[in-house]
Amino acid sequence: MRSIAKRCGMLFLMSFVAFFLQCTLLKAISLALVSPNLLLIITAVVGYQMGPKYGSITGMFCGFFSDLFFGTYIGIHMLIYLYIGYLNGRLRSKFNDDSWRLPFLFVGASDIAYGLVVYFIFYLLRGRFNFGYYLLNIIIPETVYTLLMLIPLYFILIKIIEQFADDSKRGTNTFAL
Amino acid sequence: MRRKLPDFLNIKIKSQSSYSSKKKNNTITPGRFLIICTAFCLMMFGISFFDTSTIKPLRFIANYTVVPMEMGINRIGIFLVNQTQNYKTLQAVKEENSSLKKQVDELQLENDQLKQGQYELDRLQELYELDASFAQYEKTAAHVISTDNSNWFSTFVIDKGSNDGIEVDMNVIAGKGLVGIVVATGPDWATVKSIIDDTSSVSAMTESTSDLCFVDGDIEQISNGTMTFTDMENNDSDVRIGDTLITSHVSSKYLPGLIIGYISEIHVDSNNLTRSGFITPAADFKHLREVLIIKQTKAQMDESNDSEPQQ
Repeated sequence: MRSIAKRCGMLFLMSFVAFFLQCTLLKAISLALVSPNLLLIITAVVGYQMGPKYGSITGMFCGFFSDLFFGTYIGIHMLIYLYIGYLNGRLRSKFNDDSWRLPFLFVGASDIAYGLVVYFIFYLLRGRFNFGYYLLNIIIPETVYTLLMLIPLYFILIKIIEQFADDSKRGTNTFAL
Repeated sequence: MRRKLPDFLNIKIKSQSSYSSKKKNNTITPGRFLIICTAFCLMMFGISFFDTSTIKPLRFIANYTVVPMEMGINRIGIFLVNQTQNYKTLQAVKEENSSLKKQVDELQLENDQLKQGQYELDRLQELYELDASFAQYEKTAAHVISTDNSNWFSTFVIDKGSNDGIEVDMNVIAGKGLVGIVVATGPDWATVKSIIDDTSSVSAMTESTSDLCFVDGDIEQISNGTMTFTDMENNDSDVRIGDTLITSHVSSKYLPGLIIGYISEIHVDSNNLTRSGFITPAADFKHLREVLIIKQTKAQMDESNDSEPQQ
């Protein structure tokens, strides 16, 4: 029980640090007005490595921060990130490949899915039909930049996540909530 | 059941199953967990949709967690910028030179325009009592401490909030141009939606002829540094490239007389009834570091006008 709380606390801290780095440092290194999506990396990798439940929780933390500061209502980005974290955890078990390529594929697919959902909710519904522009100027560059960012980050994240796993060996590793 | 996964090629890491229990009665299946989380998100959405005051305690917490760290990072950033600036003097001078040349052109254009419209402007100012120009408004300065986390919106956070008297709907300017409007406040921070945001729309008018139009933010134009304006009546008034667009007197949220930008392209729409085109905003959105918040909202202004006895 304690390790669950501990893990959730660490995930909260990770999303927190990712969020404020996203809003400050990563915006400063943006290329052509596009910056990598660190929150998505955290959500997808945690979901991929730790399973759908932890992915969901991390997604909710990340979405919560972005809604609290930049959204009109709390919940929209929370839902988007929640499903990204969940699906990353859920779909991983469908693949038997365990090489380093798979998480990159997952994060790339997640970022494109994120872009499409945001376009649909916030742009298409307001009558912005120029999908090609958004695809070529925001969604694809963001995905490429995010994947570049993932190369060093993935190994750091794996080291952090490994710490959680060692903890879980000692006590009960049930996920009672 | 989750399939057994082989170990990583290089990195040894436990498979997912070590994070959650194999089979126990008291565990929740991921599917059910997702439903619970979804319900929670929808509940949060519902609560914040119907009663915005419920977010206040959360914003209060954010004030003491995220915001101080953002301020710290911002301070480090400013320090680093100052350091690197020493090495970039030549470049800066070059940039300044080109921007000054541009400014000379702009000012020349503006000067011509002013000369032409001097009489008309005086008359209009009398007519609309626009003489209360925004120099008279009480203003407060703030730093931009963070920008939107996604690439889809143009909002930013400033380091002043309700403790400094900032309220929702206050107008934000930088230099000589309108930047945006406050959409949310915390104790020591506030979120500002800039006018170049895709969802933003400002009621504007030309300074010289008082033709009303709408200035809309458009993410497709941000990279060109322009915005679109639409729905300007296609009448006899001579609106030309270089004309200044200011916030109109009919806007419910923006104070009248704030400069939005200068017309860079204008054409008659296919319906022959309206004109539209592009404007170059007067504020420099790429290098926003400090902004001024006008501590008076349009609603307050209208109220005080109403309470004055009619002459």
